[in-house]
Amino acid sequence: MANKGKASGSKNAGKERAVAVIKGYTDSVERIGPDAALIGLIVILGFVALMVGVDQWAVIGFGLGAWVLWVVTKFANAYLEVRRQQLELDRTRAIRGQEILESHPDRQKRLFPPGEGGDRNG
Amino acid sequence: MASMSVFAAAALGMGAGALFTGISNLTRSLRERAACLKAANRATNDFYDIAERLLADASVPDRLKHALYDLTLAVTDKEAGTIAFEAILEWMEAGDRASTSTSGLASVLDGLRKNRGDLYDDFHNALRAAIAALMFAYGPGHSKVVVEFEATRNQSIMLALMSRVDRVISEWIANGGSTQGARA
Repeated sequence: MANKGKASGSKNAGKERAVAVIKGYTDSVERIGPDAALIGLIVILGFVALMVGVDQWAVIGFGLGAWVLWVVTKFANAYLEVRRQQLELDRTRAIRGQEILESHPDRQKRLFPPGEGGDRNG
Repeated sequence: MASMSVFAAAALGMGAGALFTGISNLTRSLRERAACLKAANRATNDFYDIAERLLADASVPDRLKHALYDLTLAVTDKEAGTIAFEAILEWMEAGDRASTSTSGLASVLDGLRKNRGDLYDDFHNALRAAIAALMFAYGPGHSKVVVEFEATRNQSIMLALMSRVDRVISEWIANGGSTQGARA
């Protein structure tokens, strides 16, 4: 029984340590920003790889690949955000703007003045 | 041979650096564009809210409704918006603040201010929102516009801008832009 308690205690301690490590990492990410955290992680991984004897060109290739991926992801995110905002603006214009233009009685007078063929819509 | 590989590595590094700088600049300008479009969307919604109210109100003089209708067309239709924005840009680049002709709008607005102060304020808010919507939607890339945007805080300048937009949109409709308007 005592052993069981000890085992569950150490299990909890392990869990708490893992949570503390993750929390520490997320706090650091919040502090330095996700970009710097990612670059830091890649650099650390590179050093670790070099220390355990991975071929240096493989490490350089991995670093460059990660960097290119990061730059391209940033660019793609920015591009998608522009597209999203543009679509939202177009949607607002198409729905609300047209509703106002169509409901306004001035429309016929402005677009189809008398003596110019009358109501082209009618 | 060794010097060749150093040279190649340096060239590769410089190329990668240039590529990184180019893509970073492009990404930054895309982010700015996205922020401007977001602001344009907010200003457009604000404008529609106020315009809907004003166009439905019987106390608003027809001259002002007419101008509001043209502004709505400029904010809604891309072709009309581009024309209106170019007119604003031209006016700003001319730098002629003395020529703040308002085509009689000022006197109509004065009358509204005396009778219905709330509608007068609404009309000015609609103008500000419409000009912001046009500037944010078509302005990015025109540094002059960003610098001069502050000028629109001045009511007489804003009224002059609105009058100019009103005139070019009326001309656009008269010259056949109405087909766009009919679609709108």
